[in-house]
Amino acid sequence: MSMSKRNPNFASSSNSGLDPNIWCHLPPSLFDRILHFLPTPAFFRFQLLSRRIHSLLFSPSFLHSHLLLSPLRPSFAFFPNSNPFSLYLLDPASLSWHHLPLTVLLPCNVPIAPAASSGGLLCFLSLSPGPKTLLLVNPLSKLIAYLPQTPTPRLSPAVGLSVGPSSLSVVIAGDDLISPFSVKNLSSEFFFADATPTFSPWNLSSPLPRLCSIEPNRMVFGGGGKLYCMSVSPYAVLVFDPMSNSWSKIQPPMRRFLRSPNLVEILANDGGIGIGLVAAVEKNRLNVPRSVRVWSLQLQPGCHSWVEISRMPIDVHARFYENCMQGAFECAGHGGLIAFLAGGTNSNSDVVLFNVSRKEWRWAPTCPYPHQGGMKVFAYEPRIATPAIGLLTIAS
Amino acid sequence: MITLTSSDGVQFDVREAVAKESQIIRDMIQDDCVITNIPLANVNHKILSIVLEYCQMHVDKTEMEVNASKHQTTTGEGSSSVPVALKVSSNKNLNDWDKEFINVDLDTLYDLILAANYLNISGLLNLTTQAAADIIKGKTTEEIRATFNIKNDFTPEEEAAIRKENPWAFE
Repeated sequence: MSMSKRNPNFASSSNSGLDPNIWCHLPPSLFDRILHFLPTPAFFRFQLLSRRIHSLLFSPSFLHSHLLLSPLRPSFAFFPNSNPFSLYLLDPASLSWHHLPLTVLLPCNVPIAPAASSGGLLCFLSLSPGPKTLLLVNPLSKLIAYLPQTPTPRLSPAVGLSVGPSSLSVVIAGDDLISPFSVKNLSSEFFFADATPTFSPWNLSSPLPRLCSIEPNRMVFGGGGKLYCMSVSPYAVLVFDPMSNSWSKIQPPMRRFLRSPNLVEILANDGGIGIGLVAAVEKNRLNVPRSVRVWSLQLQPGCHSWVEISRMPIDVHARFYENCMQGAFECAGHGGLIAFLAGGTNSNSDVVLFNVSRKEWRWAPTCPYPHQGGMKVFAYEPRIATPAIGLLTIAS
Repeated sequence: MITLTSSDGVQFDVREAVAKESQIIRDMIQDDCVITNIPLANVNHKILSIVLEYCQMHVDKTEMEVNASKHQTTTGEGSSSVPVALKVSSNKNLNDWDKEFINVDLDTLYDLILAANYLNISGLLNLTTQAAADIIKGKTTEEIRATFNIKNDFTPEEEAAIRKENPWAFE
């Protein structure tokens, strides 16, 4: 049977009217199943429908199904530098912005800043020098939990976070305080928790490669559970393997000509998680147009190579570069999307979105919320159910 | 071959693999391996034919993949990355096909949700409930209550409290 015969009127009718005489008979269990597929704002709006539907938010079986069925909605979380308690959520599917105030959730007595994001959880890091406090937050279910304090005193370390349905890995690296006034990049520490009761937090410390300086202070989880971060002067990609608890280095492409390199999570060829490098290229002698390029890391046993995927189109780049203070920008990526945010304190800068598989560059609508002093961007996936946070003691 | 009989008495002869896309039929066949005729009391012929179109397509695609990767191993050509790439592209095609397939009128969508649920075809149930979610996501709570006959049993105070929990969702 051909599809056009089956629904002769559908293509022409934009009528989305559901006939109440039919749909009112839908069993509640199937109505609840539809709820799993709603975008987050609609999901929360429909909490107003009835007491029964609102109570689903607290039903373990509903939340379990939600975890299994709710499609991933790769989004981006922006935090204004002037106020880490404001989360500006950009949904690339609907190109809409939402403002989620975190003031009531986060402690206001200790200075903190967002440091990482994974699996629906955001990680905040204490700013004061010394042993570090890390805090995990689900801004939707409004749960927060603290990690045990890190043993090594640090100033402003890099943080990597990987959250699975029932496991949690955190890496904190560099900026070891060797005296109250000076820091050195010496070590990293690893935290792992899963459902087995044997986890021993922060028990693994490992030396960083010599002469490294992690910048920006971001780590990205790639395929195979490994963590990647960027080291500057000279540029190198540092790789941490939690299995062997050891660090290694790989060379980035065109490393003498890179500006503002960032590592991002991208989709690998096999549909799994891979690592991408995003950087501006400036080559004065050769006449290479100044632009931002995206590479993907190809890993074969024993060797690696970088493959250029795309370049920011000249016109997009011209407008984007105008807002980058000293050419600096930052990126976050996941779910086949990369968001580009001009660095510095410019408040007029717009966000560029790159769709990796379609090789499509577009401008996001201007962020409608105040962000004088610039913003930070993280790849964030809105999730109502994040059972991994239960591995830690939930703070009330 | 297995014969499936719709609620209005129309018979469909399908391959066992196609019928087994339904968990409930899979269970029946497992329990009684000589079964060849299954009456489906809750699905009429119009809906059953659409459901079977879905099952047929999904079985064909899966078999194509298996054959392609078998061919790969027997001939021993190429690297192991080829079947993976093929799988990704064929998944993409199947997703496109699903999108086209689910472009049905809303009364049919309702029947398909019930049929997918009754026959326990998880892929089709996800596809149909996702389609329903896409339709209702832009509607107001009043419209949803009227359509699905949901009674608002909140006091105005409770309603205000829920709005305050996630004010950003109501912007």
